[in-house]
Amino acid sequence: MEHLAPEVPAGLAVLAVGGYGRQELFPYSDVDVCLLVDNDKIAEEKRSNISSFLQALWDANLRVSQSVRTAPECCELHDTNIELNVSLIDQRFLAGDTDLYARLEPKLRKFYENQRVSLARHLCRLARSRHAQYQNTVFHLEPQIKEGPGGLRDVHLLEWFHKLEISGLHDISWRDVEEPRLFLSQVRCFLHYRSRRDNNNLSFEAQDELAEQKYSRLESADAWMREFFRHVRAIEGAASRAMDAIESKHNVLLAGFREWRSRLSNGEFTVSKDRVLLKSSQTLDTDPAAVLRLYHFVARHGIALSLDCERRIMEAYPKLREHFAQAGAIWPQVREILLQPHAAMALRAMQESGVLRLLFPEWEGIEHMVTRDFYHRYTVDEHTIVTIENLQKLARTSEPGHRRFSTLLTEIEDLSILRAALLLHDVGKGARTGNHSVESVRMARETLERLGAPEKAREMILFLIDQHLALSAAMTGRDLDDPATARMLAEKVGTIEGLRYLTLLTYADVSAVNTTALSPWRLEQLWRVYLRTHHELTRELQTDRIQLPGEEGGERESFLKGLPVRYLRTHSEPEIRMHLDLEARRRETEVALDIRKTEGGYALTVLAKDRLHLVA
Amino acid sequence: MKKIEAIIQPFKLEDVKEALKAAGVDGMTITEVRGHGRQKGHKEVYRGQEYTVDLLPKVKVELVISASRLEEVLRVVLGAARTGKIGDGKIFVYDVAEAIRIRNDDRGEIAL
Repeated sequence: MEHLAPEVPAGLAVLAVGGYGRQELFPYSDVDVCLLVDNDKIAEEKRSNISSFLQALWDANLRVSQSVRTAPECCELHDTNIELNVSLIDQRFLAGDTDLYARLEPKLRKFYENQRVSLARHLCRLARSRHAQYQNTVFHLEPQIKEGPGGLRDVHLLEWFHKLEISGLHDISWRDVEEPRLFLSQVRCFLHYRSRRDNNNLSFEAQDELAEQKYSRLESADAWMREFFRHVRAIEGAASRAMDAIESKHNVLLAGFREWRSRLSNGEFTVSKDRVLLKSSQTLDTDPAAVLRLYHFVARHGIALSLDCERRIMEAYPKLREHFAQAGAIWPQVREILLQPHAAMALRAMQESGVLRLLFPEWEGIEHMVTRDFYHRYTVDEHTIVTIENLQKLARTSEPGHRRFSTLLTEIEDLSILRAALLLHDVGKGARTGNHSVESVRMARETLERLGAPEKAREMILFLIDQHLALSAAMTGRDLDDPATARMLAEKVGTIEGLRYLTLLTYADVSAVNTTALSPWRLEQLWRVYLRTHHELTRELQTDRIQLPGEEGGERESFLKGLPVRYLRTHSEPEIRMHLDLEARRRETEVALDIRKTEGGYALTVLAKDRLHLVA
Repeated sequence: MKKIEAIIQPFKLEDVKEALKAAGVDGMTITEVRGHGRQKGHKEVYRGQEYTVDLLPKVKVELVISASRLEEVLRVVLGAARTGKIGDGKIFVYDVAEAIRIRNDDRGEIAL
């Protein structure tokens, strides 16, 4: 102040704003100051004093970020520079003209009172776009601890809502956020000292070093990262709930939609404010099986659980654990969840509450698991749920390169098989044996048997998990124009149905590695792999006829004998049974017809004994 | 110095990388590209519908070497990338005016 005070005895004050205002400076943070001037004339006249003041701060090795404002400028809404209004929420007087500051304070308070709704909505918009830059997930392998979802910026967001006295945020528990805030603050100090700059990226190397610190009390970087994710999830959850409440409160359209959705309430669950609540607080204690019906409700309607509902699940957790340990054959209920349009949302909620772990104990091994490779961007559990989300998005895509895959999605027999395979395809990574496909198959076999999945579904799911890397490997490692490649792949997938499932599984798996992994290049290669294998499976081969031992046989055997081998690959079991029925009718009537409606058309099947010019 | 730009079949990338490594060439840039040469793509039939695939996936390998090693390295790439069939790709060779290592200002072949 020695540069300013003698020259500017009145009409100028220095305010700390931003992190400095909050008294939360990190070792290499910017120092944000606002020079409050009585009028523009003073700012102009004392320009050189202000310059030498700032110069002195820079010379003291502070990274100063400054603005010069009059009181009216501080108290108007800057739509295009909302950060200025936001930084002043945290303002604090440092030095200078106390009268000037005393005149600003009530004006500023009034301004925030009048503009609180508008500012809160601006803050939500900024936070949403910040989260989107990080794909709306906390589960990055190398997270950004300040700007990423669940980072310190989200804590600030909650503090700003609090300072603006935004109403209706009863769901936010400061206790839940305080411990994570301290944890992240320590990490941020460490990262700053470590790289001697304002670096907030939690790199693999930094994770190793943090885990080794005496105060970390955790034996490995893996364990440390799980602790990290626990904290950022708590922050992200609180920030998201606060934003949801603010956005829906002040949005007429959304409020109308919410009102409409509340009609989805049934005997067990209530939908209120676009959240699912349990009608009776005792439900989960008296009937733990209701938890799957609850997630089915989420999966069907795409409505998130209320905080109260999440707490009740937490409270009933020991009961739920007991229930699922001896629940037995609950595959039908699990399958029903997997078949619903918002299955990924339900699975995410099940993951967050720990119920997924109760259903699939193998899941625990990959929870928040960091795998260090060049391509993956998310933890293993997050990658898994993103595969299912991406498959949901595929159903609605309008992008030409993707549409051909969405057509395949309409042709598969049982979506639950594909989603179950995706859910379990990487669980073997938790065993860290080096060959996760084999481990995943072993674990999935146990899980599916325990859940009582029927043999046919089980076989297909295990086959998909076992071969989940086969098409990716062919995309880059095999000559797709070589007939031997098509033969090898056709042999692997066995049937058209198997090929469709595996192609879609590969699509979802690659797309969830990182946001650019499914490039147009890979999309084209995957489609070529599909086409080559499809041709191989469907082409007519006189030499490849179904051969069955012996002359005698049942109706089925005599029907199948002599048909091309591809008949068994290209027709599902229900179709074959339908053909057998048709053949029985044909024997009586010479010609038998079946016509039925399919996706986008009709399928006509004609059965007749072969003769010359039959189809002429 | 010379720059070799080889457009090759994706499944030949590992072979080419291995062969270059064995020949003592370590630095290279790999890009997944799509395009067509004289073959101008080809026709595919799927469910009775015929359509043209004009941009085929390929891999571009770029490397800069000392001019004295050009023929030797070209032989290595050719040997590893060739199947003898249409679609094997192309190799282009360019003169390189300068190479600079950003870290320490090294210039010329020492920067390779």
